[in-house]
Amino acid sequence: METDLRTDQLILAARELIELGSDAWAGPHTDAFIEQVGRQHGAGALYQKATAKAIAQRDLEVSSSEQAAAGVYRNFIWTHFVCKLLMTASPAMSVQYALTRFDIRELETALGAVGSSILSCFHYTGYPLMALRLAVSPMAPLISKARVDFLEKSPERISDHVVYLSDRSAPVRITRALKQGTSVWVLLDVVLPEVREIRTEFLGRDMNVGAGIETIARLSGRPCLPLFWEVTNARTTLRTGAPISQADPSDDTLIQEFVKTQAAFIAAHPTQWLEWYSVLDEAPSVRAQVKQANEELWTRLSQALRHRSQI
Amino acid sequence: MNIPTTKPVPLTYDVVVDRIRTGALRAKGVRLAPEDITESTAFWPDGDLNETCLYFDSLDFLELVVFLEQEYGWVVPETAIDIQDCRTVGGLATVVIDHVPQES
Repeated sequence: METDLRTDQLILAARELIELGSDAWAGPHTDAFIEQVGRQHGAGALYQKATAKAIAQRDLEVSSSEQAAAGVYRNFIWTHFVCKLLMTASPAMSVQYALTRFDIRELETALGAVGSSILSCFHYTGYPLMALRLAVSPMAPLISKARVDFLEKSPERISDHVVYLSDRSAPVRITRALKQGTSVWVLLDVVLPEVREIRTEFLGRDMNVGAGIETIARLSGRPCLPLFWEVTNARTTLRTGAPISQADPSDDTLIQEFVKTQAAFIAAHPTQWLEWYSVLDEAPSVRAQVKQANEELWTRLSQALRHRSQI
Repeated sequence: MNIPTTKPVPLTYDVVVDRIRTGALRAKGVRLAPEDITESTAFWPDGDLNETCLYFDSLDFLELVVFLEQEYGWVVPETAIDIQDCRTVGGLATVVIDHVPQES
């Protein structure tokens, strides 16, 4: 059922945000929009409660797990709704924003020294924008799990580099690309159903992550390059950890070494990681409810895009 | 001195099935005996409980594809790796024959 476009305050707010153009990414209007979206997200309370529980289970130096969870939630809303809205409404403006605000020189230098690599990270604030920044860079890695719906509608050079991990051919494509000199961007903290997992140690507790990159690293002979960044109102710098190679084919420590790098970053910047609840036993149920609420909210917001001329 | 000449080995369906069987047996956790892996053996199930199945995931399948590539030079295009077309040993054999030049 469609909402009345003239009276739905959320749609009107979305339109106002879009009309701000390049000023829409941050500022008082953006903060107000985030508050508004956050209040109307059907699983917002669940997300924050689960996030606070996951943070409390870890030995972190935060004054309050609830307060940290509120910060995570804000970043979650910015990433999933502000970024998604602006990337969909104004692709060219989004590319321009990513180009000017995301500094990827450290990665360019690292890849120049190491060669094609598995660029791996967790879901951090603004990850679709970071993926977009890499997609339009000369390194142009294969991109998985980062607003592929937006990327595949992009110019051919980008859309050709989108890979769906749910495809049976995805690991083959990724392995061949790495061997042929193309890097691959993979997020490891959200494991798709029926995908092989591996148990790792993460901030003193267990955490399951996808096991695929270990096999891909071994078969391609290419290392894993850990990535991290903190989105701030100033310029965001993409940081690169030391490359992790699988020296011995029987060695199965690559993923644990990678998780250690992410854990160290998250311990220092807990509000940047959007998937805290994935460490909980009830993660599948939480994820399903969050996903459904995301879709319901996006259905409303997307009306602002479909009927822009009517408002 | 007589130099032995190598006769061209035709890339027959049976040869391909046999080599796929060799590659499949290398996967971890395969509980089937070689003779139980036939052209109708499935890599992944589709709900038929009576079907003989290897229960491969995408990483097992990757290992098999890389094995075929490295051992025999058979490069199967990614676009040909379809979840239905490649679901059985025989299906993959057909895809190989359709996309790989006859070896000599």
